[in-house]
Amino acid sequence: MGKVIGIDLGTTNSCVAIVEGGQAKVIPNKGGYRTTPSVLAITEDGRRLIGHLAKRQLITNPKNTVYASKRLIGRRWDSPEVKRAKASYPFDLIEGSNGDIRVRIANKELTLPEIGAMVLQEMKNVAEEYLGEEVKQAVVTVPAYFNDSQRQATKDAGVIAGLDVLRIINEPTAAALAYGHGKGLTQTIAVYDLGGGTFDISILDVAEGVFEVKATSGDTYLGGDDFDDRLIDHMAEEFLKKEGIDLRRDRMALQRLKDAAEKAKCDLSGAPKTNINLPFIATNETGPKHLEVAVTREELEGMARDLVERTFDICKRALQDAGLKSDDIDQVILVGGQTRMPMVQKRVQEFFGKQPRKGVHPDEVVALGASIQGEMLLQKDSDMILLDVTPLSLGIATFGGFFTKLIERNTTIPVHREHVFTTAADNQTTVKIHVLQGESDRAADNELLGQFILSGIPPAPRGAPEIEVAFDIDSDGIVSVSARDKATGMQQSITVTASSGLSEDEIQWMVDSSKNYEVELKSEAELKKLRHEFESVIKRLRKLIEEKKPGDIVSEQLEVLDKKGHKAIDYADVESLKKLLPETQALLKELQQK
Amino acid sequence: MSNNKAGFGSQDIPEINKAVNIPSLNLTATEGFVLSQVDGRMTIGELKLISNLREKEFADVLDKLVKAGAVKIKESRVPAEKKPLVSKELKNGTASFEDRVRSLYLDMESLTHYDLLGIGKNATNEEIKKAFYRMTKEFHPDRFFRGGDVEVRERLQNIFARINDAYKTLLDPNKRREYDAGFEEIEDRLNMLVEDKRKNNPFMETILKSKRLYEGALEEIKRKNYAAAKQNLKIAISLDPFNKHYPETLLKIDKLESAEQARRYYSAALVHESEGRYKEAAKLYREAMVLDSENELYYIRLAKIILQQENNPEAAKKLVQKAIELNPGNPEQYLILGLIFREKGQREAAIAQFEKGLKIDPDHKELVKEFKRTKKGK
Repeated sequence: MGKVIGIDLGTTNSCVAIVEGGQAKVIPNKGGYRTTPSVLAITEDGRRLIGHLAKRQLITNPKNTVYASKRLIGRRWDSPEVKRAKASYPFDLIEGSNGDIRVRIANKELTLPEIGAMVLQEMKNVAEEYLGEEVKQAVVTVPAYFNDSQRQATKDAGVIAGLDVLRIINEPTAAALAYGHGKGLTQTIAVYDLGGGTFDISILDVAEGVFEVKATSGDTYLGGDDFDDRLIDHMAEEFLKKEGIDLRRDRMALQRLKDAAEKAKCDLSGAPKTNINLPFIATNETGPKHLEVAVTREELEGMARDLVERTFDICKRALQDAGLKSDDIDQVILVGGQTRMPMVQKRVQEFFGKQPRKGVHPDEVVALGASIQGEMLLQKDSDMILLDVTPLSLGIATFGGFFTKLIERNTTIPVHREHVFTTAADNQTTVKIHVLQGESDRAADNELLGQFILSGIPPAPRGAPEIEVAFDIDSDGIVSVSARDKATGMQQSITVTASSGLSEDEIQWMVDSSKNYEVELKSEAELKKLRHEFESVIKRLRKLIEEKKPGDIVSEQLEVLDKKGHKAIDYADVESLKKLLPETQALLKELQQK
Repeated sequence: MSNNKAGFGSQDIPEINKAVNIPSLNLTATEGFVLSQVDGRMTIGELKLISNLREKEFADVLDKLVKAGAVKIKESRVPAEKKPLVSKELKNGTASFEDRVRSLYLDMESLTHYDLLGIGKNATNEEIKKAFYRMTKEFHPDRFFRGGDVEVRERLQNIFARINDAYKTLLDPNKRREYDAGFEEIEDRLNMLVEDKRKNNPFMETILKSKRLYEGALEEIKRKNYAAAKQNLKIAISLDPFNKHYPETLLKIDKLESAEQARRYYSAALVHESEGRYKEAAKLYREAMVLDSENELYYIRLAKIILQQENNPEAAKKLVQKAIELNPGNPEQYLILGLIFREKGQREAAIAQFEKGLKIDPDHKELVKEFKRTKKGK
């Protein structure tokens, strides 16, 4: 049996751990660091950098460096979070074909699962170097409040990275597992997880080796980065007042500000005051300008107070869902780098009425927990079990634009639910099922996970047909839905993938094409030529079909070829295109002779 | 639930008193029907349900059966504060994981939330939680993570869902109250249904329903879920006692079940035999014969052991003759018969038997060998 690693795929930093001799431990990378920045860069000469090196060259190469991509993964192009990100990220974001997001760096378009995959691959390498053997299996963590699309996209990333992802597990749950592992606890634990990009709160009951999540809540767009942004705005405003230049318009300057803000924020956790010096940050007609600002801890606290308070509104909701009061909590665990901020610690202590647990490493505990979960799954005689919940309610859109919940939030997973629906009009023969996740009663206010059509329902008065819709949420928190017409037995099912933007085929394609990553650049010219040739054949085919009307079969053939060809072009897959071209030409010839 | 005249509770499980000669009893058709349903698994409450009799009628029938000595109470299903009622195998802890899963899976639908978690009706939230954690640790799907058997995995999913449902229902005071009230309501509703049926005679509907159950049972038989099939059939019979297919199928299932068990004994016995533990092997072959008297293989194997290890050619001969009756086409039996004759010094008869066997399978090695040896011995 191979070894299984636990990977905390973080917004700012990632961490990998393994269980050895019954003990979970973090694996340091080549540089000796125990965490690796989740940053990817492609340098001018086309080299791919991940981690510390990528982060270091961020200032000199902001357009071709991707960071905090986790804030975007599994989101839709038209979501408000993406609109916000577009304004502040120095790298280019563009819309993908399925309404997903692509990142363009170094003239390459990358999907977010692909970027995640590169970071995962790096963590895999770190582990392999340490262990001296290949690692195939991993448990990967996600924020507890991630929805289905975000989980699915993260799982896709694992597949692209060549990992067998045994389980997707929630970060706070992993932290609780690492904390309670082997201690034989009987406690109610609150995990307050404020990371680089996301906030989660989870309430767990632990007893007899069972870790039961009672409730979880969070905000997947609230984290340390938002604290940085406040500080960046503060510095930029000061500079604007003094020099009349808006540094936020200059990508390079903005990047330096971001760097400085992050550093200042960390300094202020230990010291009451810090000076920020950024020489030559801008120039105008009067010469070079330097930024010099002093920031005190109180000032920072003033800037970020509302962010911190927002977390406690969320904590209240989680406690309420768990049916508990804050003094029912026996232990509070702090996770995530942002919990180092003294104000956060103070407010947590006030809210729960007790000192947070010391000795839990906020950056490492999640990866440790993930590795423990991996061990638990593979070991037949493990005496621990994790019972996690789904963070969001799940259901379908029903007549009148309402959202009918089938599985309430905080339901223990895996879970299977069935419900019978019916038609809304007389003689309706098809129904379209919109699968949604969220808490609003109005369908439109919830996240659309996917949709499918069930057709062939025998005509009947409205309300007569019986359509059984079954929902499944597996242990990864991933949703699948099927609908069945009870009269005809006709069935339709989907594993909801819509907003991850990648279909099963596409993922497989990426897996294959990442194997010959090297041929890609070399053959760009060849690709251009083939593409031109291919497209002209297709064009001639279309014209001929219009003239001769040879029937549906030929049209279908053409569509299939066209689709395959464009996929090959999109992925710069020269080999596939080379094979497709003669096929297409043969079809043309056949048609010409008819 | 009210007690009946005989003084039994609805959770008591009756079984047939084997010491009594049933045909000698003077029973009515109704009493006979109820008696035929007693299987040592169903409770009195369930019996009443499937027999479709009025409360008083059923009580009379039961009373009569008890007085006649035909049935006695075997055990009572989960009196308060009892261990989980999930079959004996489970309690012993000797059964394999897969067996325990199967057993619980088949039982779980008929168990109340309390039975399932193995707690009393007055259990506190603490006790409920403890019981749930204990069951979870044993039956969570992660316990069989990526285990090879899809069926076990699916069953675990269902079991866990059921356990979780019980836990969530009992933990919530409102839901628990509703659930407890539901017991009585179900009881009442069933009684009403029975009444209704007598009044309105929605005959077709009942017949159709029983037919669906019967079809479901056939499906279950295909999947070898015999217990589920039986359950279906029993209800089908209660809905439509005049359809003769149902009891016939029920009998067929019993046969199938025994035949399957017999096959298991047989293969275990083969192992014993090949490793020289003849006593154990003989015992299992006998068990197999009892369970399935129509498979000649069991007779042949047993005959061989009796002949060669216990040196009892007469007994062996009887067994082989029975085997030949069942299936004259197995060469093995002529080999044994031949050996028996040779043992007795009847050389010609032995050779004749070997020849018979060789006619069926000319390449049977042992037959060829014994045939030659016997001929040479002349």
